[in-house]
Amino acid sequence: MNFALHVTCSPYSHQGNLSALNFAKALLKTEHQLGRVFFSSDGVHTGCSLAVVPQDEIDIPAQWSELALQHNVELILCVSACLKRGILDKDESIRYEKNAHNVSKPFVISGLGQLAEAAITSDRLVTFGV
Amino acid sequence: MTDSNTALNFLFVFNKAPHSTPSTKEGLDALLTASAFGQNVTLLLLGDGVFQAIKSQDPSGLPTKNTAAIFQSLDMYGVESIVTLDKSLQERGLTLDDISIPCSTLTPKEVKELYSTQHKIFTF
Repeated sequence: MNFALHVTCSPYSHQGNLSALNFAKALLKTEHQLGRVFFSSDGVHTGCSLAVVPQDEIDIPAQWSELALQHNVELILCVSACLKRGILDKDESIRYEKNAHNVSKPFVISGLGQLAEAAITSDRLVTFGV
Repeated sequence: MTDSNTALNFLFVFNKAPHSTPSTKEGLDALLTASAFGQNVTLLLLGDGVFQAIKSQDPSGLPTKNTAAIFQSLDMYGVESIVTLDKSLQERGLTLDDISIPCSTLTPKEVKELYSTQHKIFTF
């Protein structure tokens, strides 16, 4: 079965983000597929490359990146949620004349259409909120 | 279910009071996007979610986006199926007359049936 995930909470404010990561890891150990994870609302903080996590704590954003690179999962950040939270890729930083950009690889900024498309093309869409 | 030529049933459940979190705005954005993608969209106002569409609200004094106004234009965007739970209204001392948009009420049993006919469910 082809899954898509929708994550709406930030990595260190609510359990939902880590639960989504654990769910994704468990899913990829089975015969199921995970095509896309869509991050919206505070979930977009997951794609911030400037997070520094104490060594004795789990680096949730880094683990998302690792999982995506290993299993070829798309990590999409909602553009409208990103812009107002100061999460910008190079293109957006140029467009809005900001002096830095901070999106980790392989996260990609895109629109809500990616969530609608994931909902249409996946067999199951699972949302992780608070 | 994965046939992209067939419209799917998408249910959007709004279960929070308005103007307290960005949830309403984000939910409406997602709902309008799904409708623009040609899917059969149903909006369920559940629990405190009924407050999002009540007539007696005037958020114009708030510095945030007036989401109450967006509800008025949902039918223009092809979202015609808006439902609520009769119990959600009753518990808050409201009736359908207090709701600013065309909306019908469902019993808990009918909500269960509605859920079972949906391909995807989003909660905001």
